[in-house]
Amino acid sequence: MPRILIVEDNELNRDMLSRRLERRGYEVLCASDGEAGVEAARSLSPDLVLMDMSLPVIDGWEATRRLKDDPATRAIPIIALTAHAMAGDREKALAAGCDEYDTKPIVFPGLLEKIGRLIGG
Amino acid sequence: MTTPASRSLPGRIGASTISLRITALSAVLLGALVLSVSVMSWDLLANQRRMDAANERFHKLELAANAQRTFGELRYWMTDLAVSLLTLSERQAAAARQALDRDLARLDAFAPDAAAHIRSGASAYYDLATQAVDAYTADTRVIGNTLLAAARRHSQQAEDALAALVERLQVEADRARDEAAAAAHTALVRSAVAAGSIVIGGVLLTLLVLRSILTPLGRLNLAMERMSAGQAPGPLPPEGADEFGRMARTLRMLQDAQEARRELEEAARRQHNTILTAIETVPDGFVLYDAEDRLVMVNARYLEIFPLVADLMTPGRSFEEVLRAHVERGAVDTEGLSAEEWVAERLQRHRAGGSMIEQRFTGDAWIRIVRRKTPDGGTVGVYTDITDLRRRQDELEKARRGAESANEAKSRFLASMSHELRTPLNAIIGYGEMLIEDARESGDARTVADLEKITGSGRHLLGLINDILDLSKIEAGKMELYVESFALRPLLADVESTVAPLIARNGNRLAVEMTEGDDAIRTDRTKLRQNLFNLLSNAAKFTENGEIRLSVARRRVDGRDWLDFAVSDTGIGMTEEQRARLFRAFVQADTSTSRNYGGTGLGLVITQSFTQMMGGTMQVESTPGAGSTFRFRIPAVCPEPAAEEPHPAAPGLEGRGRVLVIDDEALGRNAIAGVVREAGFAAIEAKSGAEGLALARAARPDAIVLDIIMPGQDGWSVLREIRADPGLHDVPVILATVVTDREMGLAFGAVDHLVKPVDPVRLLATLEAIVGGGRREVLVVEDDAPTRSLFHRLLTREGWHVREAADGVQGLRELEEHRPTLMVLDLMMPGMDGFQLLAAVKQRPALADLPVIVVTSKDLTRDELDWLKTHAGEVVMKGERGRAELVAALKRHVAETEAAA
Repeated sequence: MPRILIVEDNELNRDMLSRRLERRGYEVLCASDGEAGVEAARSLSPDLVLMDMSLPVIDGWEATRRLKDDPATRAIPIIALTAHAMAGDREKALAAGCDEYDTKPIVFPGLLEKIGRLIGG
Repeated sequence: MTTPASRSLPGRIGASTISLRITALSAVLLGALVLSVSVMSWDLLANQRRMDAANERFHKLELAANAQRTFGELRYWMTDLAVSLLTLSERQAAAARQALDRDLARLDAFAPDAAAHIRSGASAYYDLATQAVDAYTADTRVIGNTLLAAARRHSQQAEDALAALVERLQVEADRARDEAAAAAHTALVRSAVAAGSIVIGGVLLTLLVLRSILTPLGRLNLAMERMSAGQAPGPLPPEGADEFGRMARTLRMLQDAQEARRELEEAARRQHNTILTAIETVPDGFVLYDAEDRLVMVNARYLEIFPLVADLMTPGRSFEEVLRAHVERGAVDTEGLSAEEWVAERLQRHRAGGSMIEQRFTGDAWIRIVRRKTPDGGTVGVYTDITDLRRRQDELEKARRGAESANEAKSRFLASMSHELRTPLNAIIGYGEMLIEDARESGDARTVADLEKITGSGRHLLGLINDILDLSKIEAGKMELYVESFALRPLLADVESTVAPLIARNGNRLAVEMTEGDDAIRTDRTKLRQNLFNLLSNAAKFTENGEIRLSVARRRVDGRDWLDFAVSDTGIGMTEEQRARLFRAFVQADTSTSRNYGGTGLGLVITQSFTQMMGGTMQVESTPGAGSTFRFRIPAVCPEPAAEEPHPAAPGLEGRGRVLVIDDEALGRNAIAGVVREAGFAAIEAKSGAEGLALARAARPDAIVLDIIMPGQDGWSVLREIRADPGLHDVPVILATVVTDREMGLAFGAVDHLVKPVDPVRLLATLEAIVGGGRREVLVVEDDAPTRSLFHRLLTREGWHVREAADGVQGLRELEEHRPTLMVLDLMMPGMDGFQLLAAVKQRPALADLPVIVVTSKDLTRDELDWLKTHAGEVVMKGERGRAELVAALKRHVAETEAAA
């Protein structure tokens, strides 16, 4: 059962996303800020991280960099989620080490497709 | 023609020349003299003769008297002899007898009868007396006495004859004497009368002649005196044939010339006054120095601007003195220079002429001083109070900074709003979809439908937010291009599947067709996708039960690799009016459209902006009721966007010329540099005025695009320095600014003034015109050589390569030889005229669409105008405005050619 870590401060989104992913058969772990996210990824070793970019404590960019800098977590694919949709976010996310990028509001089938591609599930 | 006066004597005199008058006078006087002398001489001669005659008479009288006396002596001595008988008496008597004979012989000459009578009487007496003496001697006294008595009788007879003769001669002599005296008297009187008449006549004639000379002379003299005193000359002698007439004519001509000169002087004075008034009336200070830098004139406005030195501004004052007074009296801000330095600098500028500076004077007044050299070496200075302008510029600068920070705030606000709006939408759409799944599982179709309305509205709202966000980014210049390589077909498939539900909603069918060709392209994937999505969803929105077609073609045009996209529908279409408003933000084709069809109307604006960002163009064709076709063309390989940092032009990229872009704002600068590079120019970027000037001096660009409002050294100052720099003054400068003071920009020597955000088409048209030389060719067909050469100069200056033809036939030959970009055509030409040439051009397929600007001074009839409207692009009338209109027409055609390319 692939495990997905959702790092998202908005409770509604976190709840909605986790429930929808669970329905698709994923095991979902949650963290509500950047630092907690990095911690959870290290301790729980998920198969994939869905990382919101605007997070309290440390933001998604920084959290991604830390995960990608750490040999222990470097292999975990990260999909950046951003509500900015500002041009440049995609490049910025990929430059920070994200493996994929999606904008909120999420088009769920598209996200599922990206997840499937990254973890082969 | 003769007047009565000219027939009188003075008239006749007046009509003859002066020499003739003098000669005639002398002749008359001389003639009179000679005549009178002759008459008098004749009189004298006659008198002489009379006197001689009288003398003759007296001589005869004397002879007669002598004879009487001698006879008396004879008688005496004979009587004495008879008494005394003395021998002495006898001798005496004989002598008397001989003397008497001599006397009588003399009398014979003029009175022979009397002489003979006397002789006979005397002889008889003498004989008888002698006989008596003999008797007495003989002492026959009685005989003697008788004889003597007889002798006495004869003596009486002779005596009487003698007395009668003397008497007669006495009378004759007296008469002759009297006659001579009378004749002499008569001659005297006659001489006196003649002399008197001659004197009086001479005097009168002389007076007449003198008067005929002196009167006109006096008048002429008076006239000349009055003329030299500048008055009207008064009556002049008539213009006769004499010297005075000629002199009067000359004088009248002189007077006319003087009059004409006075009029000219008056006109010149009026003109001078008009100019003075005009100079006084201009709102700017005006000052004129001569070639020696001495003040010639100054207007009142100047004195108002510089009240501190007003007292010095008298003609003849040297410029240097005025300058020094400015400094010494504290009227000027020397900007840190010492008085000497400032004066020296100003003097140098002044002498160089043709300068323009802005100088701060006391009281925060800013004066723009423009100096120009006059042809005779003087200097004209115009002082414009630009304090308000400066203030406005400062305000504008403040406003710009305010706007800039407001814009920044807006961008930040938009970024955060987009986040804030999307987050709840995310939940709405996400939970909605979850519920739809749940409802589907439980088979609750009604709930599914309702939930789909919720999520649909959520997505619609999201779309609107995205559009508004995109547009605000485009408008703020924050939309950036991300060029990547990808395959076109998968993108099309993706778009097709995304829009499929939208297409299906109104019962439409979608046909996608793509020509065979290379699939690999390089451009901004997201924007291309969004373009296609926008156009297709738009088509779907306005079409019901119709067909929507997406066609894609890759083709090479002008040596470049292009992608042509076309989205056509069979929908409601648009009218011309609606089409014109199509690409304006926040304006839909019809305000009712959004009510009927939804949407913000921003999709097409965004699509067009994206297309332009990707280096392409967009077009629309539409027929109301029959459908619309939207086309856009982008390069298959999009040029990389400009880097953020300014960089000098790379060598080898300078084929079309170098353009220096000076702008402190990176966005504006990059946008302009991008457009410039896109057009094949090498772009050099500078972040400030100072850097721009340094780069300009180092690289000497072919053109400069200059922002006005910049921190530190502003654009006006940069423009000034460029104009003042001998190495740069001829580099064309295009102003690109939010300041809309176009006139000022052009007055400062900019070739064009573009208002930000800069219209790329216009920028390129201007650039092409000034540095794109060689590429654009214009054929000037004009028979008048001076006009042709004028057009040549004008067009060359506008950046055209000019070919010339002197008539229609030559023009057609030139056209057939090589087609130019444009033709400038005169109508009235010998041989083949402009109309014929145009007709011939239209018949040739290769030339039929050649843009033609007709330049003519002909008064065109309505028919001709109509004909030209269909055969020529534009008709420009020659004349004052003709040149500007021609240039404007050329620029328009450049823009059109550019747009069509």
